[in-house]
Amino acid sequence: MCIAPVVPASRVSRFAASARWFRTLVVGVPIAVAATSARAQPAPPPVPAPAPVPAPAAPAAPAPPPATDSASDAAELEKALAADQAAQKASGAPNAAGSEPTGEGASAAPAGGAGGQSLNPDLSLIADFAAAYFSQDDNLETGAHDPTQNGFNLQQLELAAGAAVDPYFRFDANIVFGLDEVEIEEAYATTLDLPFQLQARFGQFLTRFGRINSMHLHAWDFVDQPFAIGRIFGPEGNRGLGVELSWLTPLPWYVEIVASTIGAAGEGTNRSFFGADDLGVDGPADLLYVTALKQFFPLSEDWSLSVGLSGAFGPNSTGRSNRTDVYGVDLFLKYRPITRESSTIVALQSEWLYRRRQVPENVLADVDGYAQLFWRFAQRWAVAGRYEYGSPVVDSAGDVVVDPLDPEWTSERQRVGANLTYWPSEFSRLRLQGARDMPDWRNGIWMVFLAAEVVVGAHGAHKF
Amino acid sequence: MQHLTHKLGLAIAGILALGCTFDDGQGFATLESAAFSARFEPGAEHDTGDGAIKTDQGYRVTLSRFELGVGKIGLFEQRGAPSGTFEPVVSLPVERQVDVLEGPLIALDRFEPSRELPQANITELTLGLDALKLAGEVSGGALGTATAPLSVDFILFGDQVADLPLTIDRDEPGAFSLAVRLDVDGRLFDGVDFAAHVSNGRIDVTTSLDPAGSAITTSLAQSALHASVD
Repeated sequence: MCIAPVVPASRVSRFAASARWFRTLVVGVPIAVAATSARAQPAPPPVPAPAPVPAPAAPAAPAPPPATDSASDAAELEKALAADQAAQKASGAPNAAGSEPTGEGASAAPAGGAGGQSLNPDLSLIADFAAAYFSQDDNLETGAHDPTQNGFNLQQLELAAGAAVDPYFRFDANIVFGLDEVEIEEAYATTLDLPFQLQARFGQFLTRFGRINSMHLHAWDFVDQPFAIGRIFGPEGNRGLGVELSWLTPLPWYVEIVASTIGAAGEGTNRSFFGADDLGVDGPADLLYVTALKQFFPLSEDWSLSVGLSGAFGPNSTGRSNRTDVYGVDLFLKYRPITRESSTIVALQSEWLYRRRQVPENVLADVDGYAQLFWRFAQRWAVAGRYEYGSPVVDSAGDVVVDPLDPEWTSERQRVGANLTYWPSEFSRLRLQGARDMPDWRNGIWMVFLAAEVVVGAHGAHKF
Repeated sequence: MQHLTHKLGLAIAGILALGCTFDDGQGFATLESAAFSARFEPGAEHDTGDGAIKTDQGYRVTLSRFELGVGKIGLFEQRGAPSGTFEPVVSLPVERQVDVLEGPLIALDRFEPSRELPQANITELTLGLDALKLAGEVSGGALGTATAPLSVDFILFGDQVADLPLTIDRDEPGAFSLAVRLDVDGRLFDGVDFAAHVSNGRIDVTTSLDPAGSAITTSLAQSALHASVD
């Protein structure tokens, strides 16, 4: 679901609402339906005052915006922003702090008054299909929404809904349909007006470990999920029922600290923790804790850098009190010229995860990660390449051992892939991808995907 | 600014300090120790009072050697009850000849795969016996006043089984010790017609397939196997 950030009123002052910032957000996120809205999705990189900083732009989903004149963009956006603010004042919707409500959270509040806002949430449907070829039927795809079989695959049909509940909360839900199943991928409420630059979420949500874990399929630059995520967290990525608190620090550069706790069970979401063996919750130690430190640096008008540190700490099911730690580091370097008219985007994204698991009389460790380079070389065209790596599991003596979770993974695995993306419009996307999977313990696997994505409905901007 | 940076540093340190996978993990329970003993107790019905055993066919058997080859002890849980298979939870290799007449306590120090046990619902303990060696002499019964040297030496197959209800989960037992004892009683030679096996003045039983071997094996299988956890 592409949703622009919700910014509590108390945070808004820190967002230098310059035309440049808004333009960057909208341009960086192609289908930003309502550019004047600040919507709920935690952790939007703000712009530390006083320097206006472009919001860290998300991978395009699904379509790149047309290159437009920056001056006219800015004017239109400022005009729209002013109109929104006027409408909010007219609606008289209060907020907790008694200040002016800001952002969509307030504008869409079910006041039903002069603002004329609908009580219906924003709805959208996003369908991802893929035709796939694997040189071996027994491929090693780890993502729940990856193409997994030769022929046609429905990766997912996502129904996204979201709206402000009242001046205090926003609610978002992503319901994912497969051919034979329905899953609540996310359903969470986000606070809109906590003091001290705090924001909280509760419900079912993807944790903000690293970068790609919290992104939905249609925001990825590749058809399939990096196998690191599937190996460590599970096919669905790390998520669960819980609560999250984030704090936007008052440092001169963007620094956000995120802490969340969720249930540790779930074969598809927490396989390195309780996984399929739900041992229950006898105390706080039986929950999974995810922390993240997210920093954003506006290197120049055209360059930006996001660096994050993440940790996931929780119990695993191999013993009475055995624990699993996952440490992650992520980097996102983006070149997006805004000082001249250009549709070019170059983005380097990389994540590396280090996992340690206590098992009876041993500690197992492994490293997984990926690096990818995305280049939008024309308004509707982009190419990308990706390298992935997964180490064998070693014990505390450094010897390679059999991993009880992946017994066959006894040596290195590498995968390289590349794709070509074409956006016919802002609401559809075609992607041709090829990859070579090279697990050392078996024969390599060629895979080719032709994926198509279509979007209908109000699908706002993804977070950066 | 310094204050904030300090706080940020503390936050990072806090994140990293949350990790606690520095030490080896544990299982759901630790089998701290295990011991095995086997002893021969003829019982009042078979004990002649002079060191011999009286059989149901009137023979007097005096044993000078009684050794059992013990392979391993296993703890099993039944999966897919009630008709599921029994799966091993832990195996305790013994792999030695045990002097039953002396009956020493043997401490077991090998645990496979580990003394750290997984979550399990153990239902039974098995004792694998793989050899029987007896020596002594037989008199009475159909042998009359004659005395024949006795030698029993053959391979055993199969396990002795004892009930051992033991639930291992996050709540219990944490750590425990296991004691296993096999009590062989005086019925060991019941059903054996030693006179029929005399050859050259000796009684040699070298297989569990002949009548004497079969009878001894059957009697041995009826020995009481005790298992207890503490």
